[in-house]
Amino acid sequence: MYSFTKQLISPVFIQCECGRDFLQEEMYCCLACQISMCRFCTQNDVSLLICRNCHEITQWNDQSFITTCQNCYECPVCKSVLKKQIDQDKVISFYCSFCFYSTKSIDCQDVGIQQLTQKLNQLQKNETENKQYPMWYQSLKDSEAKVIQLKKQKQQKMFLAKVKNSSRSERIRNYSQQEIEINQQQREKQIIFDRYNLQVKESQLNLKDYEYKMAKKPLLIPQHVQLFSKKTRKCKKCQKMIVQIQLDKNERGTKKLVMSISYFHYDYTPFITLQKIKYTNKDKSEAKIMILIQNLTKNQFDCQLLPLQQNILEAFKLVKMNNLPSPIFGFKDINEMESAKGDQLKNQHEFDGVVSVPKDCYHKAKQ
Amino acid sequence: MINLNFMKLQLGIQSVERIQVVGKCIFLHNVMMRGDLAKINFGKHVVIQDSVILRPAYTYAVPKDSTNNKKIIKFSPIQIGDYVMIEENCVIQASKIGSCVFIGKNCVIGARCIISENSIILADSIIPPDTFIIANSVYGGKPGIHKYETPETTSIIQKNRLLNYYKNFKAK
Repeated sequence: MYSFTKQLISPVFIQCECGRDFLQEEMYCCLACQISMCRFCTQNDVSLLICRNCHEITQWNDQSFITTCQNCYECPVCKSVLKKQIDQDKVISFYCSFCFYSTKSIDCQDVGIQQLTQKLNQLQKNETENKQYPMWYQSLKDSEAKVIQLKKQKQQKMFLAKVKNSSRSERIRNYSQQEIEINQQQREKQIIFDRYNLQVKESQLNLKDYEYKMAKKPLLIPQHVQLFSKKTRKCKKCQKMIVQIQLDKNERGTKKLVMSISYFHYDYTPFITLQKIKYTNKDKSEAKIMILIQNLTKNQFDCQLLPLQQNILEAFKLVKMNNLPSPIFGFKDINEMESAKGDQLKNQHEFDGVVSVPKDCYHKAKQ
Repeated sequence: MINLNFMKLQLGIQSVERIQVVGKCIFLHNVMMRGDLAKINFGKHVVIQDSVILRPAYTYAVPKDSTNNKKIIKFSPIQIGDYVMIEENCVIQASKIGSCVFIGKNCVIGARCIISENSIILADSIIPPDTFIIANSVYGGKPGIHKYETPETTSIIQKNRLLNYYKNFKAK
């Protein structure tokens, strides 16, 4: 899934329980467990399948094994969707608008679409059968190679047994120079015969019999387009639905995808932004940051700031905080604010903090 | 509130009558808009950066009144939605771009493409003609292939980004 952390839209991130950082808009929340979580901490289940070309929507069942669209094809070279092409003779074929591949190269063209799809499905079946033969032959060759290896091991054992039982004079044998040259010539000839698949029979050179024909080049056959899936999200602890997508039919009969259930983090929590970062010293070792907490939702709720642990304070080197609101502060309903007049109602809280900046940070930012 | 549109003086606009802008749009340096071929419609809060070319695409069609059944070239209009950001050095020949779309640098979008809402196109990508991009998807590469899915809240992220861009923009 795509993440926005690389683009650095805003420097405010939320740390999930799993340790990853996300934007405030990317988090989900479970009201029953009162926890906000990231997409890795939710449970995903497939609910719908969509084709990216014809937009056919089908519901997913445990018993359905369909993963491809039966009407659409994709190019075997560049994986883009194929389009119909009609000639002057009213002959239909598929072609790719990016790499100019066409089914005419496979001799697949016909007057009707159903006949054309039958030809393509038949070619796909034949290709799978052709792939099974070389796999079967290779398994036979491997078994034969094992048998040959076992025979060689037996011959070596026999030879070693002879050498042990023979006398010393028989073991020691000096080859004459003629014997060495003859053996070397035979080895060189054997290498050439094996390279060109030749055989010596009765003082005549003959070609060996091909036991296995060379495999044909694979045909470029278009495949069916794979379907995309839409998923629902659940809380892992309480198994309650967080995000659900459903089909909706309009008056015209067209299908649309609609989110029926959605619990996002920004709908139930205040929105934090940073404003105005200034250096307080000439040495640029301390910076003052203004933090703003807003209520963008139209609900009323109370917040509480909890004290941080000392490990985190030492890591971020927080010096001091000013204008902190009371430990429990609240946001009021916007609808009441608009109707009320003269009341000192607040929809946002500001406070600032001073943070110590390491020495290398300034030079890195300039680079 | 005044709906201000910011435009640079060095723009290559042709036939201004056919170009419709709703409001609060920003057009930067060396943008070329071919309004002489077909109409171009913009939504609100659109940002188009340097040296972008907006060129309508053509199709062959037989007119209804013809007797010879000869095909004629027809240019299809471009329709761009709200909260769209197009970065530098892009060539766009799409017929429809939905709302809350982000297009990266050096992209080439083929003829008669349809980009639906809340989608992202990565930088240095080439999208072949006649493609239909589903909502909430990320396309990239040469040729453009579906790579990721975007989260459900991309519309809010894109809106906040462009609202802040319009607030902090200073015309020279």
